[in-house]
Amino acid sequence: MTVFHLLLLAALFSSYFLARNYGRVVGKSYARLLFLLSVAGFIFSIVAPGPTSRLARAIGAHGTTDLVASLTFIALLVFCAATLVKFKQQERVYVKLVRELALRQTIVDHESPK
Amino acid sequence: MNEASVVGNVIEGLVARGFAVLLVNDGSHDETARVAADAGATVISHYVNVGQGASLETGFEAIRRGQFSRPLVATFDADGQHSINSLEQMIEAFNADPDLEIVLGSRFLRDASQVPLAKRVLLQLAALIGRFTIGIRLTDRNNGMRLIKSTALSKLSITVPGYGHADEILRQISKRHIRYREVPVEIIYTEYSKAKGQQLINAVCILFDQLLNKS
Repeated sequence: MTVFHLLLLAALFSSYFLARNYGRVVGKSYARLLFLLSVAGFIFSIVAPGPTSRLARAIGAHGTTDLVASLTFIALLVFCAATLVKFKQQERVYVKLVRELALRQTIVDHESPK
Repeated sequence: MNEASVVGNVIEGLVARGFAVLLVNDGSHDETARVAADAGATVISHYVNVGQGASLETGFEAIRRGQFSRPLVATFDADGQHSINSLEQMIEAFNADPDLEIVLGSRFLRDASQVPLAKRVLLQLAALIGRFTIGIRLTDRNNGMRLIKSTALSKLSITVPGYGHADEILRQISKRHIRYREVPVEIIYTEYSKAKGQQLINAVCILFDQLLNKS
């Protein structure tokens, strides 16, 4: 297990917990930060392939491609999870609204015995 | 949803046996609400379809708010697959044990041959897994027929709008120590109910929802 693998695992676990709390500012910021980081890593690897390659080897990734692909994968995963959580939150609000509207309509109880 | 062709008979059958019916019309496009009202049901209508769990919660909330109050509340499908005789047996279970708070229907406590084989295997597997994931012993984890003491409704709160609500109810029974009992019920698999919502592929949706709403 290299530093790179440990970093990967840490990123995955923290992403999972933050995505579950996407409603909080820290969760939203983390998702955006990861996305920006993957974009920056991608651009940096094109602009400066040498240093990126050295950094990748230093932390145990096989090369630039592995490093950038992993970053992109994690960022996408966080965004998918965050979107799902966000969808679920909005669905809850929407359902609550539909239910409340229905309950506020006048209903007539037919007064049956049971 | 969209049960206009069968809901009238179901409600008339219940009303004839002296039951009061509260129908939650979940955004039906057909005449379900009108047919149900004509047959003697009290109707609450969702403007749009939001799911079975949300509909149950709407009905429960109407009872909690006193818009429709009865000492016992049954959840009963509109498509005619639930049996009124079974409902009366569930009431007998309550009469025999006044401390009970909820009675759950089970297809597997007596002859389950009317349940299609593949469905039987899937449901029993789900029940087995439920022993570990939910923490209560049940023979039928996905039975929609329940009888609940209205005072116990304050202990239940359905937040899952879709199919996953069945597990949510069981989880709350386990967590809030609600006194429950399983009673054998008959499920009538008509051609209509099979075509409507009893296809095996539905199990995929149910399993996915239950996994997604595990928290």
